[in-house]
Amino acid sequence: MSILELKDGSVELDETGYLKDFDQWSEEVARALASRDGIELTEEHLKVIRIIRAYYREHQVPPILTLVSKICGMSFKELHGLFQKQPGKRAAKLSGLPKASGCT
Amino acid sequence: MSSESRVIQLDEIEKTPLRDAVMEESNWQADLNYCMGCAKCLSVCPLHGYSEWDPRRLVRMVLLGMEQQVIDSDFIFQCTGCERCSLACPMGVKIGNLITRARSMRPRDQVPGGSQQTADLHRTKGNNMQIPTEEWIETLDWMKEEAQDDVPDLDFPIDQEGADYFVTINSKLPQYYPMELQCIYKVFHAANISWTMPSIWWEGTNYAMFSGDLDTWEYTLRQQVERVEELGCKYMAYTECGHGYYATLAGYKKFGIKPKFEVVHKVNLYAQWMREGRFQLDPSRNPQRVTLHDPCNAGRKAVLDGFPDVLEDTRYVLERVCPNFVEMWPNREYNYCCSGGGGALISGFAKARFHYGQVKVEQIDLTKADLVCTPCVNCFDAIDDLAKHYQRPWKAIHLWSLLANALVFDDRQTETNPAGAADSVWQSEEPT
Repeated sequence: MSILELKDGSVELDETGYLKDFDQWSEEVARALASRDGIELTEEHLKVIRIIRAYYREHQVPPILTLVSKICGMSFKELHGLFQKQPGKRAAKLSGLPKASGCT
Repeated sequence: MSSESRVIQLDEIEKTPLRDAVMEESNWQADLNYCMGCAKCLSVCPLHGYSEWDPRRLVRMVLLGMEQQVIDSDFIFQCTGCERCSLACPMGVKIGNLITRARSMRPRDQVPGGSQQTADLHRTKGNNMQIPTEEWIETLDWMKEEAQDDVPDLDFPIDQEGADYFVTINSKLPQYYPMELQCIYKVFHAANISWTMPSIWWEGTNYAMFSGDLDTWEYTLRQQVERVEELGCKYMAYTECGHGYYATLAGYKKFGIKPKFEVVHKVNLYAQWMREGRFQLDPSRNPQRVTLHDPCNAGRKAVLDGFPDVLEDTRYVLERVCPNFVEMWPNREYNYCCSGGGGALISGFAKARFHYGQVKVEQIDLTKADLVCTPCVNCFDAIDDLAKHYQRPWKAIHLWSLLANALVFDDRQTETNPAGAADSVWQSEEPT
């Protein structure tokens, strides 16, 4: 477990860097997580992230990448570019989702 | 002797369910009593030096009737299941069986991390990541259309009765790395064989083996067997997933399942098809220095159990698609865990994982390789995690990616995936 320091307060991360509490997410959290991966968050990133969060809130499952692509209206190439070639795992992490099941 | 120490009278030990189960499973041939306490097992264990526990201690405690402490210990879930200990044991004690049995005796709600949750999803949803059938089919089709940009006549049926090969896939691909599906399509298409992608029970992993949920392990295997037999396929092409492959063959043996088809690892198929001259290859498309990480489950553990392994066939393929292939040391059945074995990727012991993973990092560094090929999706992510954690330049890559990239389709094939790991199919192109 580690702590992600923010301007006002902090949030807890699990030992692999995922947010511990889905409801503690904020844009500031996403920005701080992204900067650890060398990504400067833009409105385009946030558009994807909001869609992933909304889907997860409703289904308690991370959306499959083809679905993200379809809902966002972005191609795989665009998603790969936005999230440094890991649009599935990294976008889920920045969205405050817990680490997925399976060998990830 | 400390005040907490006590003398254990061996003739007073009455109930030994863990020991009995392990002994019974091996037909009483691999008696834990054979353990001489020689410590060869602990000398090869990745956790030696990190944990106070080690394989010898585990065996000795079971022999002394301290079964509950073993079942309650973190060690049984920190264990990478690599079975270097079993290979090293001069008396043939199968310590891996002991670990699996000990895990199975832990109450399900006390299994650490996410391995039991993953096994539950496999059982209830048919795959680890609860991907609905509709989205699975849509992903398969979408990726097929993308692959047809490179290979216009590429096509395959879904749920085709009478197809020779039933192809399994790890759920991580459709969920996170759908582009990788194209590599698999291209290889099977180039082989010019009869194959089908299943709509259900296609999962090519089995986390129930790692969580110790024997019932779910057997249930999921039987469901998949039933599906393959319904379609009447001759072979199940098992995906590049070491533990899934091992869990399937070991599970069939353990649960007395006798399928009417043959399970063949995809790597063995690549090599077979290559020997048969089915592929036209241009290895110059993979100019990087490539090393190989042998997966424990489809390597050493398969060897120990007498199942077909992938050790030589992986090299046969790599040497023909990568001109700059270099061995890592130690290798083949003596390899060292990727740092994600035995369910470690999601068992919640990341600190332990990165600790013993340092050895793997050193081994990879010494090869001076750009790419670390591993025909195992689990090892792939573990090596990818190591590269990030220890800030190394090398990348993990699947064997299917390198093979697909070298395939030539009637001179129409364009270079598609020259340098990347699974997440970097687009490495050679700028996003548009």
